[in-house]
Amino acid sequence: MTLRAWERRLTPGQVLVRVGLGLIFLVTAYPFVYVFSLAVMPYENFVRQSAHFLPSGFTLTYFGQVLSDPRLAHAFGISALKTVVGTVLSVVATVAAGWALSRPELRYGRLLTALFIVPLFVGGGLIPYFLVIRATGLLNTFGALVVPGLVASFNLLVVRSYFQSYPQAVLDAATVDGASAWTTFWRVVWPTSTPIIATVALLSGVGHWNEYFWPSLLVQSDLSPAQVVLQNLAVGRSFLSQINATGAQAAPESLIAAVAAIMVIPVLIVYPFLQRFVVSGILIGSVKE
Amino acid sequence: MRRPLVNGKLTLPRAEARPRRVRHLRAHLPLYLMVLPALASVLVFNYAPLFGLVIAFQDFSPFRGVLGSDFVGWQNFQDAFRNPFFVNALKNSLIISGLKLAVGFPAAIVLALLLNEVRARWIKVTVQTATILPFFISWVVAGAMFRSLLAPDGAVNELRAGLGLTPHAFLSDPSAFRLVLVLQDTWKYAGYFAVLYLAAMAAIDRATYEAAEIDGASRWQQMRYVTLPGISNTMVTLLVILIGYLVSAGFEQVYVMYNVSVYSTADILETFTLRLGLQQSNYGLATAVGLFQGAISLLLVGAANLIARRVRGQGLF
Repeated sequence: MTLRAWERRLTPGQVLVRVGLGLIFLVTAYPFVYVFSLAVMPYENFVRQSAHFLPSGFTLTYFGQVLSDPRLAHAFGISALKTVVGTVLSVVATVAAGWALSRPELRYGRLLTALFIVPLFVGGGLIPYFLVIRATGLLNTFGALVVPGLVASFNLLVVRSYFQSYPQAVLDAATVDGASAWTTFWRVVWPTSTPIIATVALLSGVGHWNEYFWPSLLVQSDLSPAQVVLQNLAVGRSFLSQINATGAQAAPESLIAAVAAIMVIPVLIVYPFLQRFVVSGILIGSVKE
Repeated sequence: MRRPLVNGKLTLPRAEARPRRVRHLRAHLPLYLMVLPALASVLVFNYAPLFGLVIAFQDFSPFRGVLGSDFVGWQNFQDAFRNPFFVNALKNSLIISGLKLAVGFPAAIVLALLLNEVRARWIKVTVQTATILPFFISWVVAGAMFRSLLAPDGAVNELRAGLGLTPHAFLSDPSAFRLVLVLQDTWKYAGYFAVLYLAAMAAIDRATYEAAEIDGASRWQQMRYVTLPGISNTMVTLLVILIGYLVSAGFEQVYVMYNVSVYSTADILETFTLRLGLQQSNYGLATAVGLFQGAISLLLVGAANLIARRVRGQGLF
């Protein structure tokens, strides 16, 4: 029996498995379908029709309104800046530290590593954390959006265990050629470690893009990223009424859905890479445990 | 290396004369500098708050600071336990995360088993792609999605109407709200955890399945007696970790989704701490609640690990 024929052969068990997976697929994907439906369906149709599981009609009015609102555009800009700056800082700090901690030449390497492991298990909790950030003077600055999450212990440990199996021959060759520790790291290790750098970058990037709670607490509205603005929109604590005052028919559901859809789109775009690298990242992390 | 000229004379290399520690540091300084930013970050943002836990034993005043505030012993803890809202929040935290564990833990295993059994590759890829996606969506967006799905005129209530049921306000009904949290959490994480199980399944030796087949084991029996034992280590590892989270019911999810009408069933320790600390400026009491939560969490992980070691002869640590 060829592989394809084996794949196609439907035993009762296979039917059951496929039905189960089909249901899971529907339930998992539907919230995404629904949010895009709401965002592109004319609000009149939403109100008029009794059932609308899929979009009836199509309009980009709400996307247009959301993107042309200066405050939302500003919030998307803050989110993008936070994501880019925060990710670059995190990746450089995490990969550099992970590399150094994986080197046997580093004295007290085990002690330092332990220092990074402890926070995985104990923390100060909300209030002391907030007070520390306030004491650093980061409150209401752009720094509050990118500095506190600089290094995630888990990522650092994954990077370290990845580098522990870096081929020694390559490093010896670099040393023979007279490369300093800096040159070795930037010119040899960094360019040959794309998988782990991509994993950390994607995890950190998505984390920055998605972060909501601390930005909502640490900065005033002029520095609020889009997640904060979306949440305020969704629970009615903001300028939704003012968007509507610009002439559009009252369509809160459609506008909220449009903002949510815009927040999802960047994640969908990087997702193919994300899935590949993150699955491998998860596995690097778990296998070496 | 060029040797510097001092007073017109060539200086001799003095490395041999220097203490070994200095020489080591000179040679490997870049490595230490590479650790520095991460180290500074972890010291400031992870360790400094740990010392801030002192506040839990103080009548903390932001103006007098950690060093200037008066110590009050266990007073804050006693106050917390006498506070009916704290007791309610503790109860809710345990119930919500207990339900999440009871539903989400087996759901991920079932999903992984189904994905492992399906023969058509395109189905496996499609379903796996769809089920990991929610993991990468923010709680705010997930909240917006579920809020519109569950709205009085949302898809779920339309489905109910089609079945002849009356619309239900799930998000302001204290008895339905926990169910929403549990299902949303399962939706968000099942695909992610399934990846870990699938990795463990991929590591099972094919020969074991062949041997089982020769012995006449059905697909079902192979799943029961080969696949499940093959992933039991991963199951135990995750269970120990998840038990440690039993007092953390998912702060951001609840914070994004809840409202005053469901405080009775949805207010958890973190949301309670937040209102107490940042809105009522009762820092000492709020920190005491946080410390209590952290201590219980550590105890739970320790206990779960101990049990895992006793029962299976192997724990996580």
